[in-house]
Amino acid sequence: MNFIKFHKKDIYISIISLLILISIALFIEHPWPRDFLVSIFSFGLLAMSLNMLIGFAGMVSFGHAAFFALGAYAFGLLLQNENFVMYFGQFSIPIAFVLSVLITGLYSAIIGIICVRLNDIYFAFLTLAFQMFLYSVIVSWVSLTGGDQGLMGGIPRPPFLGIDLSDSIHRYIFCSIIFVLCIFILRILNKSNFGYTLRLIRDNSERAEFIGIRVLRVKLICFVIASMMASVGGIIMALFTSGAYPEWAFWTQSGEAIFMIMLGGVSIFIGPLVGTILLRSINDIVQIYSSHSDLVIGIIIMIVVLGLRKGLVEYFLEKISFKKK
Amino acid sequence: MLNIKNINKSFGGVVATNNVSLSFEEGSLSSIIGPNGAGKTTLFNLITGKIKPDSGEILLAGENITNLSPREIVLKGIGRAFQIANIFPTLTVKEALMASLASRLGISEKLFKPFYSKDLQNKSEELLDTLEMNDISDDLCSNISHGDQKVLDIGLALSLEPKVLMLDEPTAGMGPEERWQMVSTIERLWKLKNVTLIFIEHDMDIVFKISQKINVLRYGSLIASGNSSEIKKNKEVIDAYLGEDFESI
Repeated sequence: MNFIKFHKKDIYISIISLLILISIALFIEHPWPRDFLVSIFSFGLLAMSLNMLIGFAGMVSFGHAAFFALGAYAFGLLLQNENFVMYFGQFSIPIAFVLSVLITGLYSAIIGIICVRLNDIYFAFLTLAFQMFLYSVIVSWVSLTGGDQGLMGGIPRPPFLGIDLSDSIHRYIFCSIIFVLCIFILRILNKSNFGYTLRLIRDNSERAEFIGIRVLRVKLICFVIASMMASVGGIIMALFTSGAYPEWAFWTQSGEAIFMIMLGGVSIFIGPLVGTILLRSINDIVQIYSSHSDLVIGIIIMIVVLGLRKGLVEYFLEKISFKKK
Repeated sequence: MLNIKNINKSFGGVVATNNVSLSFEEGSLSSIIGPNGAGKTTLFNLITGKIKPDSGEILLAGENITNLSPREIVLKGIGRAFQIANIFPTLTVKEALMASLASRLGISEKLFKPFYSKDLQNKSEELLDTLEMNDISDDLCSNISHGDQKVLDIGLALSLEPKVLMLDEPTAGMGPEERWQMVSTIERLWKLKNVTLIFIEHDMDIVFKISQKINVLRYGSLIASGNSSEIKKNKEVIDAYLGEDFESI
């Protein structure tokens, strides 16, 4: 009861956001808004979960997209397995979903035990190394993953509980619910005791240890939760494209997530999501006129980083609070 | 309360702590003094588990805590404030104390428990009262004065309700007025919380005014231990640290 009372505002915002997202599917026939928003759900979760590491805990990972890709591949491979689908029948999708997240959690825990012992650039490069390891496995294990062609043959999407994910409206609504739920969970974590313990570690891990915090354990838990959230983003993308592709595990995908965070802002909870929307919008708009979207995005990032020295959300919030004063 | 027996620590060829044995009685207020490089902070680091001794034992209320981690030692009851105020710049004063209290209550890893709970807020407000920091409770730790940062650092250690409180140069970097304010804060907290307090200090006026027992280190060795008048008369201490023209207070 106390929990609901404490998170009343976040619950309202989540419900209203979900209603708006669902109404887009119901009232706009053209598929573009839905397709665009599903990509926002997917990459938004990647960026928001990465910011749990960077913004909450001060752990700058260069290899976060590995977990996005692992979630997508695990989900696709489980559903492509005929025995799996036969055994679990109509519950194949929810079970594959949960299993993929758990597999990613287990993999990230194994990697995390090694990575969280390191700080700063050493942590960043080790996570990058593990990402490239996964990328190499995906590209070279052609018989399982389809190599650089990606998962071939589509991902079966057997209906469950009246939800048919091969239908674009059903799929969109399903992804909307999952996305809003994940953002809500991240928000709860951000405002929880655990969230503040992460801030202690980010600000001063030595002092945190001297007030009794189990620094490595807390960092590992954060690493695993963030990885599992990224895997949900990957699963949404796999559902959307009915496949999985090795470039999701390439280091540039992690770089793009960092761009999203930098663009929106690291210190505001919703910043990375705004960054995702901006980056994807710029990308889509520029691509109408030119194939050099990366060049334009690069220039914009440079302007934001060098000109504002903070994310756009942080910049505008500061302007507003300054005006109020 | 705290007993150190024949503790040794070397870094390469440099002997930082040389066979030091010390004891601190329950509820006492003691200081550790000595010239720069005498091994005072090293001794603090050894007691609080930041570094491990090469040999020797550290006993807290009879229990051997020699090779425990800093966290385990904190939980056993040794709190520490640092020479350079070691705080959390992006948190407010109240949040820093709340987070520290959450750690003591064993709820700092609760994933879904709201941080701003009534219980934690009430406890932090009590602590803010004790520290006399209510008026700056919502300021960011990085924005408060150096003196307040040092008091907050002590407050963070106190939030863990330690049996032994160790302060490394609590008045370092302060002006004369701020220094004596800090001294009265330390004395007040010591009496209020009834802790065993050990502090490192360079200001001899402060050391001789408030210490019940003074321990003098030089080149990693303990050269004297006693009350103010004993230390002031000690020939070795005068030669090594105080100087011939030291005027007694």
